Amino acid sequence: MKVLLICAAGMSTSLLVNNMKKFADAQDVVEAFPVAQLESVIDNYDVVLVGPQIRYKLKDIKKIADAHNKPADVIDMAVYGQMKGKEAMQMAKKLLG
Amino acid sequence: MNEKKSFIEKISDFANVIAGPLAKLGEIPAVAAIQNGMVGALPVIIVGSLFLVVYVLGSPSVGNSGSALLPFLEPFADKFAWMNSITLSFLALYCSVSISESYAEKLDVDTKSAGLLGLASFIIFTIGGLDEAGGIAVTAFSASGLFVCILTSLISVKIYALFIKKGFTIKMPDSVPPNIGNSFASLVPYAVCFSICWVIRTLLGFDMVSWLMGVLSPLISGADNIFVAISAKFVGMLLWSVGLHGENMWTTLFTPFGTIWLEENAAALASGTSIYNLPHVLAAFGNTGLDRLMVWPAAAWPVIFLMMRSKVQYHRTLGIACLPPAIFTIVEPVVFGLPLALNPYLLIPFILSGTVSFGVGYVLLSTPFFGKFFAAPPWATPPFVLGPLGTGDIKTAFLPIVAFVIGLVIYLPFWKNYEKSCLEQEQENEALESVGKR
Repeated sequence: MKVLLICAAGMSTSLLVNNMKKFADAQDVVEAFPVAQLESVIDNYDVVLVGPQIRYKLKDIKKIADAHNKPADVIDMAVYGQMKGKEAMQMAKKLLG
Repeated sequence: MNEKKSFIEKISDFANVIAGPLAKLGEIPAVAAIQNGMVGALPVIIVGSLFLVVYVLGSPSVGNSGSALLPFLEPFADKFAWMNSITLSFLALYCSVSISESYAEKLDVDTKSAGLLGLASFIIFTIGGLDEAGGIAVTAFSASGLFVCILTSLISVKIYALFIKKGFTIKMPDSVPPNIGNSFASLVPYAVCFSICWVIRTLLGFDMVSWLMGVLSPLISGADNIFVAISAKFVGMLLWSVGLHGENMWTTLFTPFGTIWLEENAAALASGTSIYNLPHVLAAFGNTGLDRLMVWPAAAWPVIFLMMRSKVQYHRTLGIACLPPAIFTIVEPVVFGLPLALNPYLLIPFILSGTVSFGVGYVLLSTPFFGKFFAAPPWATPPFVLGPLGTGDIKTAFLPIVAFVIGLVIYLPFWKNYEKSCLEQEQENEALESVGKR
């Protein structure tokens, strides 16, 4: 599973990335990027998780994600703030169905 | 508790009234292109302004002492200042490329062709001939030309996209490689854009940059005042208080103004004005500058400090985790983790601390006692470094401490209540043995 995390500058989500990697399998990929780069990197991933602080951009993000056939959704505020890697990984798996 | 909830709902509703239209605004391709384009030009501003920092260190005319801080740099000071003239003062030129490319990306047309078209259109639209000395006047390339460059970039790329999408282009046979085909496809829209710009600037002699600066200049200069500062920050904090990225959604709209102010400060400095007498307090507003110096040290740092001393175990653990990113003014962990967002106990001090501290910072920085921003360090630079680096004034390293104290005083009464309620809940949870809820 390849997870793409998107936030404003890719900085705060990179904190969550570190915690998610603890619950990732060896072949899993978890990486963070700023929202401006979404379109150029989305093809390398299976699923898109969005930081809650830019949830106002979800519509735009979903448009791009849909065009590339990738599921995308906003990370729960508490999961995000407390950097809960396990829950975020579970959310990614759930989105992939 | 019900009362608290309805209060939160009220704030939340109020924030949504502002957030809704802002989100819509950000979805407009042209607006997003301007934002992304300005961000794209940021490295030029950041690196270029670092040369100005070296200039300050080696320039005797800057500061009060009358001698340069690093005297061995003195012979080269002007050479460092020159870099400002061709980076920060050529900003509109660089933006005409980056905004055009960002817009082309949004409109889904070839970005390389669009970037070049935007650059050429801007030059044709602003340069009507040689001046008396036989050179070209570069005023239009500076931040004065920023609004015109936004206009020429958007309009030229829009025309380009219209022509490409309607298929009104010179078509090459399929056997021609796509790169060559693209450059031919560009010919008709290029010709149209060039002609329009040429007719207006050279044939009719209309210099929009001078005209617009004449009209807008008082407005732009006047917008750098404490009322704009406080109300802008209030809206930004309100958005954060419901967990929305205040800077990216709102403050960023001030970037064109902040950049013009920054460029004017830098130009004044390069021509010998002391760092203490630069014209603009809000220079670089929208991305970095005073905002980053005063706001999070007041709205986030005191909370983390209180968390680390809290009687609640959960606060202490989270506080330690939130501290390192917060030093770099990355505050999402504490905003969403504690949380500060949508927290009925801490919402008022959260909004108040950031807004008040920014206002106090504005007043302090507007005095001749502090240097003003002429350089734009990246926003995630720790405030203690950001101030001295951006203003050339070591005293600005004290401003985040002032902000911290302001924030702490505002938070304290609210925090006591919050801590008490958390403690009660923790004990309740323990009593119910329902651990693992967190």
